[in-house]
Amino acid sequence: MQKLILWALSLCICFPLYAQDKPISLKEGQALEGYFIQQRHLSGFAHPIVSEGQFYFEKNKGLIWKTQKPFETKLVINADGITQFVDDQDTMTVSVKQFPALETLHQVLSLSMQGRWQEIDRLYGAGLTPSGTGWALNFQPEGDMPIQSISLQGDEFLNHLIIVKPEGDKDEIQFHDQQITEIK
Amino acid sequence: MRKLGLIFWACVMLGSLWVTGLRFYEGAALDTNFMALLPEEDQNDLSRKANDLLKSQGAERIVILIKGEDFTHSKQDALKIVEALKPFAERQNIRDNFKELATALFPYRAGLLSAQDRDWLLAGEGSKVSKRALAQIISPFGISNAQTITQDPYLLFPAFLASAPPHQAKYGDREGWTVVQDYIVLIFHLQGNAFDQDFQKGLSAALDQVDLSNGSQLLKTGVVFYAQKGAAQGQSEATLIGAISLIAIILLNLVVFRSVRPMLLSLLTILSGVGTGLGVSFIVFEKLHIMAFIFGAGLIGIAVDYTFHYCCEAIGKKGSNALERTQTIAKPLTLGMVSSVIGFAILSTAPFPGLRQIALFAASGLFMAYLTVMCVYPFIDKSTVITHLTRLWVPSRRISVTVCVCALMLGGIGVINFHVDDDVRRLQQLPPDLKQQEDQIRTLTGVDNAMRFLVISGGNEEQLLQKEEALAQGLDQLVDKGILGDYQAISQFIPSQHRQKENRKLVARSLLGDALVAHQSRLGMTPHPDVYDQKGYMTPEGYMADLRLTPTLHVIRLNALKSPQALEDLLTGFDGVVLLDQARSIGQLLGKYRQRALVLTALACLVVGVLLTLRYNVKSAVKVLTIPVFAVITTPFIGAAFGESFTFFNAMALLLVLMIGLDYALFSYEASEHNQAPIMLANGLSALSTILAFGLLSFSDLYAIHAFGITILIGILIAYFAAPLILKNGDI
Repeated sequence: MQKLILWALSLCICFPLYAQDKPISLKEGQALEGYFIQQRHLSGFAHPIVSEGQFYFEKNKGLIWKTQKPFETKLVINADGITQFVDDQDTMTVSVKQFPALETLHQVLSLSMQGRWQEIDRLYGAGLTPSGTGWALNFQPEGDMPIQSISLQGDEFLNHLIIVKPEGDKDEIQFHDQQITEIK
Repeated sequence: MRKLGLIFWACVMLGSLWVTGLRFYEGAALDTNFMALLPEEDQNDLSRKANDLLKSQGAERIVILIKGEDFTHSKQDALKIVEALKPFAERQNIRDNFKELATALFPYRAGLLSAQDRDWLLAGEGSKVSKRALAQIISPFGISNAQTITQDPYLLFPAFLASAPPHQAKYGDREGWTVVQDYIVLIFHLQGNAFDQDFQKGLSAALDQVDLSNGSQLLKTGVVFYAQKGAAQGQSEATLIGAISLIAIILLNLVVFRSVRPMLLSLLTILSGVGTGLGVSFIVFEKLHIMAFIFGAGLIGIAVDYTFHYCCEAIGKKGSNALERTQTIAKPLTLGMVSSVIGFAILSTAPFPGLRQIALFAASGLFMAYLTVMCVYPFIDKSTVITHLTRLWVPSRRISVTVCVCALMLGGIGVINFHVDDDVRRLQQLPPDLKQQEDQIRTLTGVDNAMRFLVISGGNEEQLLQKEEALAQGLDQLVDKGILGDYQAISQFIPSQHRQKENRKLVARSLLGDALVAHQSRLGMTPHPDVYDQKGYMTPEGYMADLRLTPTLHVIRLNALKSPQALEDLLTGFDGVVLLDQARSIGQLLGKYRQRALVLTALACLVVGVLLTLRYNVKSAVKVLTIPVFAVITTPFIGAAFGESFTFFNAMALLLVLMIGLDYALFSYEASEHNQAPIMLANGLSALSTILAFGLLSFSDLYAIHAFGITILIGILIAYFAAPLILKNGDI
């Protein structure tokens, strides 16, 4: 009986580990797509600015961010920088050289969406830690960066992203209905 | 008379030595910038002023790119470099300047619009600006923070900055360092003169001693590095050539005359000539150009002729004494000296700053060499007859004719090959390793070194900015067509007041009032209708000094201009705007002055001809002049036969060929029948010493010096071999 209790106890202790979902990794030729809801908390503003839409990610093209509400706009973020489109017109291009923090953001997003966690660990010294039924990753980029901290949470996929700025602004993004597809 | 000459000689010598000594003690700077040789009269005032300012700006700057194995190492290395160069140069942070400018501009944001926003507002499409801003604000990873959004809800200013000229965008910022790719970019402002040799040495040594981390790559560029290489090379070559030529003269004297006395006399003449040349030049000019020094070596070639002729007069003449010898050679020597001085006087009429030095150096030096022979030798030289030189070799008439025919044939071949070359890049040839580093830096930073600028002048700064804005429309079209890479102008960052006013009106018309309140409400902001209420206008005072030469003189830097003609076409219709294309304009100048040097040589010929006619008669004058003129005419073509191009420097060297050749001809013509062999020996000795010195010059890597050397080498050979043809009775 004692043995049975011990066995049951150890099962209980071990259970959470088994219950945790391992993050996926994108294979060659695969893309990730899904939906997002974003809240921008700007310090001094009464309410967060909320937007939602669809995203599509693949290694070469980068992240394509299609906001549908409050109105349609498209944003492409890749190794070169950010380009924004309103009504299919390029309204703003910011290169990584103009705004170096973009490089960190792109790297973290690209690597986490591809599931290349070891590289994030190598670059930023931050590894995955178990959290609930999934995992979490927190880190603070070094140097003179307009980003105070980045937090990621997920299970099979990256579900939740929080970027905190030094001035107190905060971007919170929830991802849902994500799936792996072939590259379009 | 001779005593008076001696006293005068002694005074001049003492004075010259004193002045020269003083200048070297003070650290006399040698000017190694070949551009200093060029005339200034042909540039209009505007270009010259801009040119001077840009030159001094460029000369005071060095750029260093450093890349370590990783960024940590790069940073460490960069810090070490900054520390090591502290006594010599102050670091300038381009990014800091940019940040500073951005901070200063922000309060005037209502008047600063990106081209796109401006176009939208001009078309009355304020809603597009609003939507653009909203899209930016709701986008993730937004680069605008709450503070910016509150003060500039339309994000007009970030849009304006993002449309900044590309060269600014090439640089990035990493942990406070300006970077381009993996390199840290260090830009320094020199605290000393780039052409000061002590400063150059100190700076280079400090940089060389920096203990860089393993595997680090350092790229550097700056006028100071080129100037140092140029100075070092020019000086070592001048020293080497001077030394070899001196040794050759000493050996020639010892071997031929088997006595120390002629050698000492030669050295005294050379010392008097060069010493006086230096002294007089230093009295008149603050700095001496390296070319004047090199020409000084040529002067040795003429000055030593005088001694050789003097000494050869003693060959086989019993009872010969110094006074008698000077009297015998007085006629050709005086004529030669006067002709040379006239030649150099004509040279000095050319408005070349460097060439005036050369002319003064040579004319004063030659006169003193002459004075040494005529007035000093009789008092110090007690030697008599030279008896050991009984069998003298002289070029036979057949050899002379053969050489002349060969010269004509080679010249004939050269006519086909003959080509002129005024490309300034050959003139100021850059050391290959430095050139390569500069090319790499240019590729990385995207700023080309072609030094093409538009110089814009106007009555006041506001007019200038408006002119720039009008020009920018045309320039943008050239960029779109791919004719121009890009350009940088002050008005791209600091628009004219007129433009700022206009922009504010556009903003007020479409974006303020109800539109602003609605926009702010959409963002969930408490409406602040006065965020764009700004007073005053931004002016360029104190900013962008590299493009703002003076308040009424701006430049626009042009990168990768493919067709200067297309730009010239654009400029018609703009007053007070000139294209400053240094390579092209200097090339044109060189061409013009190459022609002028030839005209000067011809003029010198003419004047000497008149002088000779007065002394002899027309027939004799023609006879004497034939020799140097033949050498002067055939030399460039013979050079061409060997693949040499004809440059401004070849043309200048022809004048020296004329002078030296004339000496050979005069002495040959004046030689009495029994005295021809010693005179030919003197000619031979002087030709040999000149050829030794200039033959060496032709091996120089510095194109100007090479061109000079090769021309003299060919010209002297021809003049020497042709001279016996005018000996009296022809045969020896």
